[in-house]
Amino acid sequence: MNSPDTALAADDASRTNVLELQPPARRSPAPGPAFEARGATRIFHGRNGRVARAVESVTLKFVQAEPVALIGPSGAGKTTLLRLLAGAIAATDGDVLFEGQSWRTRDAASLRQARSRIGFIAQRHNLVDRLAVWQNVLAGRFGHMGTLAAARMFVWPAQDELNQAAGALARVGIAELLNSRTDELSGGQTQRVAIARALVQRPIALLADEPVASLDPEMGSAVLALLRDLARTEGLALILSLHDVRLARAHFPRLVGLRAGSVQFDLPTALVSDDMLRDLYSVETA
Amino acid sequence: MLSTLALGVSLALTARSAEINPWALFSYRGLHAVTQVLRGLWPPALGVEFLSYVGPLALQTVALSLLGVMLAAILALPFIVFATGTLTHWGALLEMETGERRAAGRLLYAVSRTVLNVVRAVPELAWAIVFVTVVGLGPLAGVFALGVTYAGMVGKVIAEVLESVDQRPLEALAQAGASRAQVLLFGILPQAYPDAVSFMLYVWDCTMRAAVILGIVGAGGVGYALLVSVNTLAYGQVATLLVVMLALVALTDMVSVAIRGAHVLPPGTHIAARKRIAIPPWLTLGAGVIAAIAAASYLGLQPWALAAQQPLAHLAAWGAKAFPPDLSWRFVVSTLPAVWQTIAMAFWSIVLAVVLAGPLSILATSTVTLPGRLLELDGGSPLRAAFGRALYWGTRGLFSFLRAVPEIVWALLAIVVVGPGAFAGVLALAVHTTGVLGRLYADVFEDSETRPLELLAGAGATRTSVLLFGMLPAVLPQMLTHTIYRLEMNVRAATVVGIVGAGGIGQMIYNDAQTYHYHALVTLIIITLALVSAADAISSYLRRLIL
Repeated sequence: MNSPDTALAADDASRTNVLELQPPARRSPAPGPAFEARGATRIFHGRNGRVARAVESVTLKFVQAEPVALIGPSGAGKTTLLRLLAGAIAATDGDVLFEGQSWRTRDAASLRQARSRIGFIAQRHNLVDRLAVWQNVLAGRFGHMGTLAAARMFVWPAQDELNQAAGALARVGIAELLNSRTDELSGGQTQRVAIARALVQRPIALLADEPVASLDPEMGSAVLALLRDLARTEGLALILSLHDVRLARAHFPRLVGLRAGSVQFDLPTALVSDDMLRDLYSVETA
Repeated sequence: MLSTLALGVSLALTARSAEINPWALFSYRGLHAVTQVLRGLWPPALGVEFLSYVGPLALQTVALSLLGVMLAAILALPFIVFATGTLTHWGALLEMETGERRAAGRLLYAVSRTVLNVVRAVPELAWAIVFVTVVGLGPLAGVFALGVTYAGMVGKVIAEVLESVDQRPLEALAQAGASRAQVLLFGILPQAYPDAVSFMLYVWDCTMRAAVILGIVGAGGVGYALLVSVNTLAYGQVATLLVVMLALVALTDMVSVAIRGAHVLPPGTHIAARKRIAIPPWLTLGAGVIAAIAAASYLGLQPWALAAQQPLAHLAAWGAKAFPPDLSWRFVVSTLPAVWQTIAMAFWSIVLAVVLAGPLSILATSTVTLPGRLLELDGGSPLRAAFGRALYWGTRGLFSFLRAVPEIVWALLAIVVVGPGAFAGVLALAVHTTGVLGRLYADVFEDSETRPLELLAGAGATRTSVLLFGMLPAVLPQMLTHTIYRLEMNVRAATVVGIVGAGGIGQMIYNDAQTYHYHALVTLIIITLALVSAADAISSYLRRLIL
């Protein structure tokens, strides 16, 4: 088990290792916002004919190298918004763009290519349990290769591929787990493996849905610091959802408040008042 | 009251068609034939000549069963992928799919599921008859019959295993840019692997049970020797062959339990132990492939030999001869009595089996007959305790034996006793089903809640009234579910016992195959398919109604 401190110390030691593997082209992103939602609405149809408007007419822009936290009570639509941005689900109405192109207009190949440029970390269950850690990490390369090449990589990994997995794991502070089986890891370790996989994707953005919800506070703080640090050093857009307002205020310069699927505020953290937060989380319904 | 009346009326209506004739069994001639057979069974034939004839046939049976699994897996493979709904029909992986691709996926899914259901509904012996007419007598026909029948089962169940894995890691892979094929190979398969291995071993169990009887229609294996021995009244040989058949099935069971144990450890096993014991996938797959290759070369079915036999050319030629099926009004109407007889046989056999298995299963219930349990037979006397044990193990052993011998073999023996016809089929099905239902009922009894019974017994109720008023009402729905499911199975079985002359549509199938009426043969296969599918649909509807 890593304490957060040793984990972060390991980060510093191994940083150059990963940077060498990143192609320089990645750090010169297209001008304009990385993500853009234009009146995006997403409706879910429940089993018994119930209609849930999870996200309603959301218009937002997210630019490169700016960490943003989505906050709001549970059911506010944070997860749905993240999944819309990441191209995991389609908008029912309005539009969502990644690097200036709508998710709607992408064919299967373009969808894969675009998704592989976004590192997405879900709250839990990112990894395939019965695989080795290095296999889960190298799965981040799938977007850049065909099925046969992927099979070759999973059975006979090349040395540089293993180095890449090892480098990414070192970057998140768990280099020693390279050969472990994934179902033997703790919650904090699986979260780090998921981040390592996202790094191997060579993304231009990291999106994370409640990445620390299943971790204890100390570990959660360390993982957040790690994400912030990665985003800064690699120049990535960073958008994540957090239910813990204190953590969001401490780590993020921009906060987006969501409530009942709509944006309540979108402000620099310094301008978010306690009253606004109280309204955001208030129990009475509008 | 009403249901009793309905049951009585149905029995009366079907009795004629099922050729129910107790006199054939309980007359002097019938009972004499039974004793003849029983006395003939001892001593078993153990002559060197006979054994050196049976040995290779037994090996051929093993080879058949292995190749059957292999072919089933190969044939099922393309259908499995499309029949996995999470890849083609619903779920998070298809969220961003375009309209046309969704429609195509739905279509592929529906077609694959239908094909798998269709090939599964026709019993393997019926397929074997068809393939004997295609590629001639011999084990190749048997391999095809097993492959086709069990491809349906493998396809359906493996697709369901693939559907049931945790979807969230798959979404994460797709989100990282993995293609559908990559998600399948590196997300779904690693998760589904233990269940898939354990299911394929179960399929091997099934193909072995089928392989021991395929020889009856000339499709290879030890079944052919059994047919000859019964027909020549050589009951000593029958005894030997029955032992060989049961040993083969038991051996398969033991081997698959051992292999399964190495792959799937009981829940709660420590993770480190699981890792240590688990056999790597390549070893399992490699062993399976090597076994299948060895089996193929034993049967003389190496790829080049197979190519020389030109099975596909035979199939094409056969298809040209057999299509279109004979759908003339006259022929279809002429099959109706046989269809009705098949249903009547299944119905009567179930009723007889329930009558036999019901009382016997109580003796096979450990909580009733074993000493020291709830309703112990012993009043402290060791003699009565021994009696209870003997009852328990005796009935359990009887049930195992009755269900281990396949219906078609019971049919061969029943014909010796009561002569050819539907009644022999009814008896055969009833005897086999008694073994199945007896075991199932006893298990239901054992699993039932014992607390209310203890209270009843404590209040001074007699053993009989405890069973009748305490246990029976609680377990009746479950017993009924098992019985209805068995009725469905017996419709399926009733379609094939006719192959040896024990009534039902199987008799027509066999006759038309023997007389080269291939157009009619295809029609009969379609009717069988419809009959079994209808039984399947009705039984699952009824079972849903009960639960």
